[in-house]
Amino acid sequence: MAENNNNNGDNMNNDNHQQPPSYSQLPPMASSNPQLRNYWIEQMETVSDFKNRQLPLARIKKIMKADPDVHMVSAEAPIIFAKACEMFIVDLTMRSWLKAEENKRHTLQKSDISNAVASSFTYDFLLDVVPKDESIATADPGFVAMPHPDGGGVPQYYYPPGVVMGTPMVGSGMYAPSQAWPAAAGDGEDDAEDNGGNGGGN
Amino acid sequence: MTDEDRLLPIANVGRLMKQILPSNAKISKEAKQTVQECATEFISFVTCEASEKCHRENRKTVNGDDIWWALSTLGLDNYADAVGRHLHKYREAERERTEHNKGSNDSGNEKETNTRSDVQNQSTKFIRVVEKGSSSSAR
Repeated sequence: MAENNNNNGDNMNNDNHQQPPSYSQLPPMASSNPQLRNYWIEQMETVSDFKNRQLPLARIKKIMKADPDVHMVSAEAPIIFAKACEMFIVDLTMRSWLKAEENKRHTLQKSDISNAVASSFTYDFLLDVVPKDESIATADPGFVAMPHPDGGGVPQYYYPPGVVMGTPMVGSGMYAPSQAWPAAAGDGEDDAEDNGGNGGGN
Repeated sequence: MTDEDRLLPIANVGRLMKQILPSNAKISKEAKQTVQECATEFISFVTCEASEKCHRENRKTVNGDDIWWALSTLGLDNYADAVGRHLHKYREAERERTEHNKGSNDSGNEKETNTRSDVQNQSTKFIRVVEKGSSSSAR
């Protein structure tokens, strides 16, 4: 008997044609570090052998089923997660290593991971898992307080209330009183705002 | 479940970390434990999102498409792109394996029926993956 074998055109499709590498689409997790960027380009260009696993599927499935809302898990789900998780560990480790290098260290510390998580907003879901170390937060230059919101008040900031600026205006004695009062009031407001800003920053 | 069962094995996590770092780098034990917990949280977080999608669509089985969708929804676009390709490749390999088995095993009608049904399901999912891929590219 002659049977028709269903040779689908699917076999003709090339991965690269179907899903062209999206080099320009790295906005949320883009990194200026070339090694990290190259890693992600490589991950999107090539598909490693899915049988070569670094993480145990049974454990991944167990973690998935720990969620009471999860009833059944298809066989492909842990395999896909093994790949995603492997990339996650590599990405987080590289970002953390950049933090260690910034501090001239060769040993990766927990604080490096905390800082890497805090620096990548896509990893915000980990902020509860990796609470920020207070001492590290204050030491890290990345946590500099926000600039003063009232731009107009900045000039006043350079003249503390105690400093008298009457000397240059001796010639215009009749105007001194009116100018002095607004300046004093302004200084007061600036001080209050500065205190508020500092509190927010800390 | 014990705490050890709740997390990915720290040896596997440590090995992955070591592979990507320079040879002169050292990793503190605390750092390994932290990444171990982060990776476990990553799985739970994405699984939760995928599971909610299943509920909305009245399905009980979380599959690869749901995980791909969850990664995209949660802003993990790099992961979604790479995983989408991986999922496609896996299904292609599964389809080839199934056809190979069908060819070498002509007995057992019940098994053949299951095999054909499986092939059809995979074909459907294959099409969906392609569509999602296109959608992802459009963004």
